[in-house]
Amino acid sequence: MKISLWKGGLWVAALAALVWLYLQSTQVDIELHMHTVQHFEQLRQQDARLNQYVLQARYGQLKNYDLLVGTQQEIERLLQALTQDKPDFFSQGETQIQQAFTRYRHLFDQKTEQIEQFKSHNAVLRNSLRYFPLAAHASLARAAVSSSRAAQLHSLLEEVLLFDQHASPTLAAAIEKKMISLKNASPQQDAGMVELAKHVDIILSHKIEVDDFVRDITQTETNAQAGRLFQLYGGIFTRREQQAAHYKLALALLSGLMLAYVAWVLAKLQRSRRILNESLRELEFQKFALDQHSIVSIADRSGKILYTNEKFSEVSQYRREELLGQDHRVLNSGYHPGSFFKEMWATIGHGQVWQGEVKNRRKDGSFYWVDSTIVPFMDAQGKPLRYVSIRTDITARKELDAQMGSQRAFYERISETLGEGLYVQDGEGLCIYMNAEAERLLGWRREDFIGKPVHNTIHTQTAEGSALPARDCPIFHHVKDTGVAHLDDQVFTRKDGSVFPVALVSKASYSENGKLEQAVVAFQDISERKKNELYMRLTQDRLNLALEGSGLALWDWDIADDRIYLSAKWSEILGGEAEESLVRMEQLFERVHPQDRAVAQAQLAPALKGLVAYYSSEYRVKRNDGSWLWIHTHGKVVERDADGRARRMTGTNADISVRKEAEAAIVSAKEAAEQSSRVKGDFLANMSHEIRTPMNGIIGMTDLALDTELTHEQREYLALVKSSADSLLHIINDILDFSKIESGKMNIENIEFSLEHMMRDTMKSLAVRAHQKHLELLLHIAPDVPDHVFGDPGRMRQVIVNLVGNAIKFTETGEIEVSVARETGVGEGSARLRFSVRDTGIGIPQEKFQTIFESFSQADASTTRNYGGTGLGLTISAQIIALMGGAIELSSVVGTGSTFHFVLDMPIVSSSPLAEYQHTGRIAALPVLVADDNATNRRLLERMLLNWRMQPTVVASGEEALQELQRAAKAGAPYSLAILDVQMPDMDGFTLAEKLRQHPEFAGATVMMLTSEGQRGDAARCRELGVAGYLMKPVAQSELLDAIMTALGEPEQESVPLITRHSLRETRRKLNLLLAEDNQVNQTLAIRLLEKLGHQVTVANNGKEAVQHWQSDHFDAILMDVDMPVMNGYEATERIRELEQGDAHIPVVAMTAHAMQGAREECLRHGMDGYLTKPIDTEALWRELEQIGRAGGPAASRNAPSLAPPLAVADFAKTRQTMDDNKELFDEIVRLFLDDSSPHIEKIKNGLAQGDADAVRHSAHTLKGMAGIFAAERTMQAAEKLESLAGAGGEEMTAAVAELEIALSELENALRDYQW
Amino acid sequence: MNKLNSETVRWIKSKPFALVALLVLVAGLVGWLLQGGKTQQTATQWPAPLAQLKPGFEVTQPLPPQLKLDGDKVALGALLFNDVRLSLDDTISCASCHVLSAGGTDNRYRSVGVNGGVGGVNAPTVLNSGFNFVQFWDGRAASLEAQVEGPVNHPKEMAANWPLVLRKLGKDAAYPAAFSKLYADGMTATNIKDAIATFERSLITPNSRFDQFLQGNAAALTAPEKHGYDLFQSYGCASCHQGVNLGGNMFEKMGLMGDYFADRGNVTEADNGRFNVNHNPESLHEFRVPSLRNVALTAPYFHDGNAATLEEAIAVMAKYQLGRPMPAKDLSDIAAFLRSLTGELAGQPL
Repeated sequence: MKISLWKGGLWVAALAALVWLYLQSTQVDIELHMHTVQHFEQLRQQDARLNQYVLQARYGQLKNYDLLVGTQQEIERLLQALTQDKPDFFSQGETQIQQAFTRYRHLFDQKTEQIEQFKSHNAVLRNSLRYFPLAAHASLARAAVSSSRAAQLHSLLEEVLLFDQHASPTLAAAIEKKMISLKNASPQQDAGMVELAKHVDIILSHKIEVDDFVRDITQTETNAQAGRLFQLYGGIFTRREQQAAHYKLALALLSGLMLAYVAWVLAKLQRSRRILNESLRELEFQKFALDQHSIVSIADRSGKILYTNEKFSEVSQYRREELLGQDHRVLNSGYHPGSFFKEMWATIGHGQVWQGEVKNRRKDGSFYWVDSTIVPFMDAQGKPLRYVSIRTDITARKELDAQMGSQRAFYERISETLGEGLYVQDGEGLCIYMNAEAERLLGWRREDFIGKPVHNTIHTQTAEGSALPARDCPIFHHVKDTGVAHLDDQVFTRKDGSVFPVALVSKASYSENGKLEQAVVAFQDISERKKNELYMRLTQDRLNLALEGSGLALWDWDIADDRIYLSAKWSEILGGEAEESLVRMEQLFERVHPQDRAVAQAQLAPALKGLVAYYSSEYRVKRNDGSWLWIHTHGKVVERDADGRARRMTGTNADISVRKEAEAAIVSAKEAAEQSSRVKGDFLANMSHEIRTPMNGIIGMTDLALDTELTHEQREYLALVKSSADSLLHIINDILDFSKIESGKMNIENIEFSLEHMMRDTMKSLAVRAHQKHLELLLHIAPDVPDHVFGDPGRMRQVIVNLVGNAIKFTETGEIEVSVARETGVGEGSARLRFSVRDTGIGIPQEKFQTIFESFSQADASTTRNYGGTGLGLTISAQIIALMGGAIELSSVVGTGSTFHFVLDMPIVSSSPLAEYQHTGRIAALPVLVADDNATNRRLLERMLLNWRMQPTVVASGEEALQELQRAAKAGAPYSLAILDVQMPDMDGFTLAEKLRQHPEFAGATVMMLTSEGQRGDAARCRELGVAGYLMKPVAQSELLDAIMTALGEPEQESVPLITRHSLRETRRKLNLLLAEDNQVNQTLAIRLLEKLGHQVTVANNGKEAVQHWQSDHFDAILMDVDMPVMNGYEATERIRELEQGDAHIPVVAMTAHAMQGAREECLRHGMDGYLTKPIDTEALWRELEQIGRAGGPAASRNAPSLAPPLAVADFAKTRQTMDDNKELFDEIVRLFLDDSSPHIEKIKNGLAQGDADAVRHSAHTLKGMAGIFAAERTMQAAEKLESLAGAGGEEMTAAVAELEIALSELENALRDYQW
Repeated sequence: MNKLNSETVRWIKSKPFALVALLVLVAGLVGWLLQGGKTQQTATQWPAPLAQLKPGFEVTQPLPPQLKLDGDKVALGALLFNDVRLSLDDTISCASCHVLSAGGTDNRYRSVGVNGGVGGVNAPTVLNSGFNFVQFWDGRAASLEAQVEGPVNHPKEMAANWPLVLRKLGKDAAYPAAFSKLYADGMTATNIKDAIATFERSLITPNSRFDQFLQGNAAALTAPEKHGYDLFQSYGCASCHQGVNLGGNMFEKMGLMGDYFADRGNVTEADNGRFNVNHNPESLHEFRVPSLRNVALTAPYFHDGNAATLEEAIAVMAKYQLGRPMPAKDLSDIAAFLRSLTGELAGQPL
């Protein structure tokens, strides 16, 4: 290969040399050279002609420049021809000749430029020269020319003409002078003279210029340069000519050489062919010789059969013509794997002889074996040319081999199946065979073990461990003595030296002369068996001992024979001698108490059928002395027949009389306890009612008294009364709850509620207490916590109040954090919520963790004295949470704080509205600065703000806040919002806000304040400082979000106005109420309370009166005491419901001292709508009334046309449909509506005042139409009513206007809030 | 088997064609050497129409009836001259501004190119342009071939470029075929220019009445025309408007005898003339002297197209170039003479 490459390279080089020489020899082109010489000659001529034409043109002999231009073009053409012919000489470049050419080119361009200027100037000059005499004559011809001037003109004319012939500076000066004097002498207006002067100027200047051009043109050394160029060219050409001659010679020589080589190669080729033919003939002969003896075939390189001999066809049954051109694959039996042939091809492919036994297939499908030898014949490059295969038929031998092999395999299989180790040793004691099991047992590999002396390898010691020489081998001796050995006390040694006991059998065969020839030994590892024997024995011993100790009687029932074996213990139990017995089942059951017999027998059936695993029954049996004894029998079916029927059952009988007696005692004790508990619970419930009624009076009246004018002293006393009464009520409530729990009457509600609202309200009530102690009260609800869940909000509130109340109680400084987080691990539709209350209080020692949840206990008895309280709160809370399916857990470090937490699974109603806020993203990415000295609060706020995707930065002091605000303002990224804590050390929130207000660069930031304790005048101060929001801690997420949205000019998502006593009075709708109450005190109390709230109250002393009042008058709602004489609340309500017609429904709120569980349900069952416990909580009362007022609808009755049934405020879906979903249109209409509605209301009011019915009607009508756009039914109806009433005047009108106003404001709010 | 493996044999056996090729090559070489190796090369023929004229020593001479040109190239050039695909948006051809029947111009003050682009000077005539010594008003193109570059690439004219033009023309199978027939390297920018220039050289307008007069037909001109010709020479018009084309063979300054541009006002960069080409202050306001052949048809006049009529143009010339008064009678006779210069294009009177 290498040689061939080298040769190829040589050829390429030779050819390249030929081409190169050829190219070199063509460098000289005589004809082209002649052209070039010619061009140079023409160039010289044209150049000379150019000069000639320029001179002719100068002196007027050439009337046009065509010849001049033509010559220039001709020279240009010659230069281009030169460049085209000899680009390496005549073009821009660095060689000497190229430089000379460039120089020539430059000279010619210079000359051309001069010629151009010459042409222009010459034309002008000629023109002036021609015209000058005419102009001069024209001047002369003018009448007014004096003779002296004429002479001067003549003289000027002559001098100018002379100047044309021979320009001299003196002459020029003279002409100029003369011209000036002529001009001066002529009248001002003589235009002719001005012209003349111009032409004289031209002649004077152009004449000299033109002559200069001519001189420069003719003197430009173009011709000389052309000569130099030609000389250079000639020199180079001569050199090239000589070189080309050399190259031609070399080319001729190289060509000759190559021709000679080709001739030699051809001759050589001829000779090679001859030798090849001779070799092939020789091969033919060899093949012939082979054919006579063997199956012979020849294949080519690809395996194609080229030749087969007779024998081949004979054996394979294929005719030769069927085989030729085929592959040997036609014979493939499929017996050998692919790798077999691959290996074969690899061998012969490398020129080596391959030998092997091949199974082939005949034409008829039968197989034959051949011993095959394949000889490859290689060609000159060492590649295989032919494969000659020589084969011998070995089918017969192969069949024999196969037979023997299968026999041997048969025996081996037997020995392997035995499952015993087996080895054979010869007469010398050397191993000649071992099976796989022996390999496994002995740890020897067959190939290692065979040939080794068996005894000394595996049988070297006795079971006791002493050495066992070969001469003492018990196997040998047994075999020798009896011909066979059965031993199970021997031990064999494994390869690893470990020893195991064996059971073995050995048999020997002897030669004719009686010499031991072979011994076969089969053995088993019996170590497992030995171990089992020992174990069984031990088990038996233990069982006996156990039976003895337990006093159990054992029985074993053979069901088919119906015989029961009973151990000795049974007769002992029955009061007899200890002896085993054998009885029938019937006999056994005879002893069973008649009351228990049927049950005991019935219980047996499922065990017999296999329906239960064990038979277990308790029954009484008669002892020998006639007394009854409780027995517990326990049994199991241990044998079944093929059909699954029980055949044998065994078990035990135990005497359980003692246990039975104890049980009976417990049951009666429990019943007694339950009874007592029930009695206690009922008593407590009753008590509570009895206590609550007067408590209601005490607390309510105290409240009322406190609202009156009082002296300082009186106020103090009353406040103490109030707080004592509150405490008492609290204790009563706790006791009541506890009693409910104790008596199992505490039920947990499952209603829908807002977790966030519940938590927020709860915290609000606690915040006051916390802030009184200067504690931070923090609430954090994780954003993934669903808001609307199912549960018992009242009870949860109770637990939170209790836990937080405790935390406040036991914390002196620091903070209390309440958090709700969502945990994973419940299915869809529910949320696993973790509620925690963490404080930084005194903590609880570990050992008290359990006891504090127990009734009437606190962490320490001393704490009760310090902190007060019943100690029932935690117990109640723990019970409540337990009823809800959770458990209150506690972790605490004494002196650092405690955390109470519990986890509840709560079904989700809907996802958190917070998620919706997050979707709006209106406040997203706004930078917020939070300044708070409390780290937890900072973290909480930061997390909340991050939840809304705002960008919070938190700082710990007012100073830092100022710095950060300045930095941000400087960086050009000022804060949009700053949330400041009011109570901060060094610089409090108000001071900080004041500083912010003083700096105009912070004007862009909206400021919000958070406070832990409200101070009088804070609000005013906030307004003064331009603080946009002022919130009490703990701040709930939605509250803060609302505040931020409002502060930043976003509409509130849900308005939660801060409720104060005053606002309540102002905002509430005045209601006309019916109060049914028999108790005088409570009557007075309720009336005062309600009237204070601005409602009108009518009193009924019992249910019957209530129904009468209801029938004769209109009320918005009825407050119904439950326990009343004559007709109680339930009855009265039912009566009212019966009498109610159509859709009318008056809300009835129960007022009851029955704070027991189920009271609410009871009330609702009797048709009431709400429920209040006495003593009446003003907040709760307000809430109930507010609901009635807000709902409007349910309060409507036949007498109350002003309280319309619930009508749609607006139907935006319909509106959008009307407007084809056009948002712009919608927005426009809303804007118009909002702009127009108020003026109409004003008009209506004015119209009412002035008695202008038409104006009222008109505006009402307009409003109705406008409201119609939004399908605002309420507004429409109100407007319609007003329209129809217009002119009627009086209260009805006033009410109708008020109604319209309300409806309208609702609609306006809805329009503003509506999100497209 | 005997060892017969000769490397050569194998090589030859495997490569019989290589052997034959080698033999042919060597034989060819030897043959060439014996012959002495002659190649034929032809020098470029300079196709200047001026060279085809008889040497003329008078002010002017008649236009020849025809020139020796490659008829096929002329035909191809004619196609290209009228082809709008030379422009960016297939709207403008050479013929758009050089309307042959209208004296080789578009008779506009300024021509309008692609997308309404307006040129800086008045379009000069394409007729007899082969006799001009340089092209464009400012002479910036030495040949007609070079001139073609101008409008094709000028953003206000055809706004195209050669790759674009070649691509567009290449889509029309006829062009590549025609070019391949005429040019060894087929359709290239150079060859397109060559064809167009060749066509333009063929655009000569012989046989005007003036030419007939020059050829001895004294009756070909009226008396005023003849008088006008005399005046044309005596006033000095012929100093510049001379040669076969009555112009077109030199540069001259506009406003020799008065400041034309100051008087006209609103001087533009194009008014700099040849200065824009060689930046030689001497060449400021120099323009190629235009040919007066067919001048009656090529209004408006001058590089700025500022003279609407022939009379106006003559008056301007008399004032600013000749610096002499010209009575109305003389002016009208000269104008009459100039109107006799209208010739025939391809045998048809213009």
